[in-house]
Amino acid sequence: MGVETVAVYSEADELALHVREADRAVLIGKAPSSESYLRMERILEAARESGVDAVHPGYGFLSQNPDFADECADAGLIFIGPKGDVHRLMGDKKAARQQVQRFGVPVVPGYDGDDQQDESLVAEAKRIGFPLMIKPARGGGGKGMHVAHNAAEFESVLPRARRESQSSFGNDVLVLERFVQKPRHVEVQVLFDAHGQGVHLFERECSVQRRHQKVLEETPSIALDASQRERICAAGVTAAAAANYVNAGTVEFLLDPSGEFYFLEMNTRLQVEHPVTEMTLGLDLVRLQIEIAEGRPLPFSQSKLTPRGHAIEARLNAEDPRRGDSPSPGRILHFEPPCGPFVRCDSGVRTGSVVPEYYDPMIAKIIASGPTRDAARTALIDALHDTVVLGISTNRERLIQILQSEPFATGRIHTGVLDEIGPLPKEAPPSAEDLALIQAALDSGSSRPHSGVRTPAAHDPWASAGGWRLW
Amino acid sequence: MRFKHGDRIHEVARHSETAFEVDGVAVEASVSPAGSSRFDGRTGECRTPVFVAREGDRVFAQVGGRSYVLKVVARKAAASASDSGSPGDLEAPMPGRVTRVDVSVGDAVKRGQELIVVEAMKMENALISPMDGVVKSLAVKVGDMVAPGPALVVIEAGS
Repeated sequence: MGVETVAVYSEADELALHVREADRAVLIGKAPSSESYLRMERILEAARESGVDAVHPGYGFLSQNPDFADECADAGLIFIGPKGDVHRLMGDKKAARQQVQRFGVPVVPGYDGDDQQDESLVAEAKRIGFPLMIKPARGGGGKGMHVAHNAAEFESVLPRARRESQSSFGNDVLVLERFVQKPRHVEVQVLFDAHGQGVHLFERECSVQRRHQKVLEETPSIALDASQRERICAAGVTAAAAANYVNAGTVEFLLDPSGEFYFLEMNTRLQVEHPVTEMTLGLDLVRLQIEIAEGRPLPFSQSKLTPRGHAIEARLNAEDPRRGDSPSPGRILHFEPPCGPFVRCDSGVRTGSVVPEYYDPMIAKIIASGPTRDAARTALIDALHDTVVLGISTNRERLIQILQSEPFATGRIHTGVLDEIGPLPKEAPPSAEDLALIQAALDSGSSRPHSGVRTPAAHDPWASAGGWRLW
Repeated sequence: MRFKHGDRIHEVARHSETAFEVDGVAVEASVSPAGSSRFDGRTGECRTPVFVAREGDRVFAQVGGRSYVLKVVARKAAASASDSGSPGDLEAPMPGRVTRVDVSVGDAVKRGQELIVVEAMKMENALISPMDGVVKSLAVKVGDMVAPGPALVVIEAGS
């Protein structure tokens, strides 16, 4: 677009890719996000110092924070996203559900009252019935969400749900909701300009989830026929219009096996999985976000939008699927993104990057498309096969296992499908040939990470952790 | 070299440029460097992309899409394959910050009881007592940064 960019970064991200790719980057604080990426006043100061005219909040941290949107506007900056009041309304799950319900959008039975005492929540839980979902009222992205299968489990998980809600979102108010059995997660991408014109960019299905965090996302959803698609996409547009929405947003629904759908929440920001929509519609959503923020009208009407083919995204995470998906931060000794026709890799790392322990484990998104779902699926398997990350554990093999599994291949997926697929099998011992090749490579000497990488300052846990030596 | 993979030790000896012996089996293999950490591998007629990087005694490899983490072990250490401490030594599951310590030295604990919570990447991970026993030592307090390796808490079996 020819727009000059200024990035902000914390001490832990000194070597991060976003810092290197921006025209300029401003240090805003220490590694913990509460001392950097969540410090509004420091970010606004960095914006002023750099003379920027607009702020894109990305998809984490302050991207859905109403006060940040307001303060950007007060500081004379264009916030690339909806206004503070829209974030405030949709960020409050209770108010959001009530608002969309008024406009005829269906919601899941639940409790979102102000009385948050233990006894009251337990009573409400019993009234709604089990299994039951506990969610932070201010949450998003699956963080801090728990399922209780009976009253005893509910009471035991309640304190942890509160703590996680408090530590992740700064607020411990919880909402309860009927847990629909074997639902699919289907969401509708919407785009509204500042002149009241809105369209949907069709749906994405993100049913493959692990602890309520998305693992694989695709478009279209094969669970919808043409009339269901029309209904759910129209409901997405209605929900967004109910909030006087402006810019790109996503309305999330649960689709139950009978085909009924319920409003879950609205994400008032760009989403991680937006590339699959871009791949099938040939659009650049970030460009459209910026154009909308500049006050330009939508460049197309609904009837001009026709998706083509199928696209699937896999989230590559720094985690160990054989140890309960525990995070695996550390230094990446070698990174090799996949390439090939209909393959896209949006990566936050490269060789030499350090994956900090402070933030989300996602290091790259790998997206493949094709004329059919199966073409996209097999292309994504090939792409993951070609992706190389040395130095930390990743879920690469887990993603391949899921993509190759019978439930995913046939499309019989739901939000609990990973339990059906089962864990990644214990790793097979290396073959004699593979060990000989590894020995030959070690002997040839160029397997040491190149030494040109600068180590960030003293907080780097890899510089101080005992027993770790860097060559 | 000797490599530890999972619980197993593999012995690899090189007899010539292309002749290897792996766990007593003869294998032909060769590589040519194709960039940093990257090699074109060949075993007989078969060509395979090989990626290998070493950090300390750990070797990270991906061969034809299969990834491995190997530990280089010294010959005398290899004799006793078990290198972990006693089952009552609980280490951090990953680098992170201690957000809760629920026990003190001398406390009696039950098998399955949460002792310490380590938070990383916004996830709470509890260290759980593997047995009924007593807290023998405790090396951390709330707020400490920890990494896998040293025992954070040691439980001694007992009634």
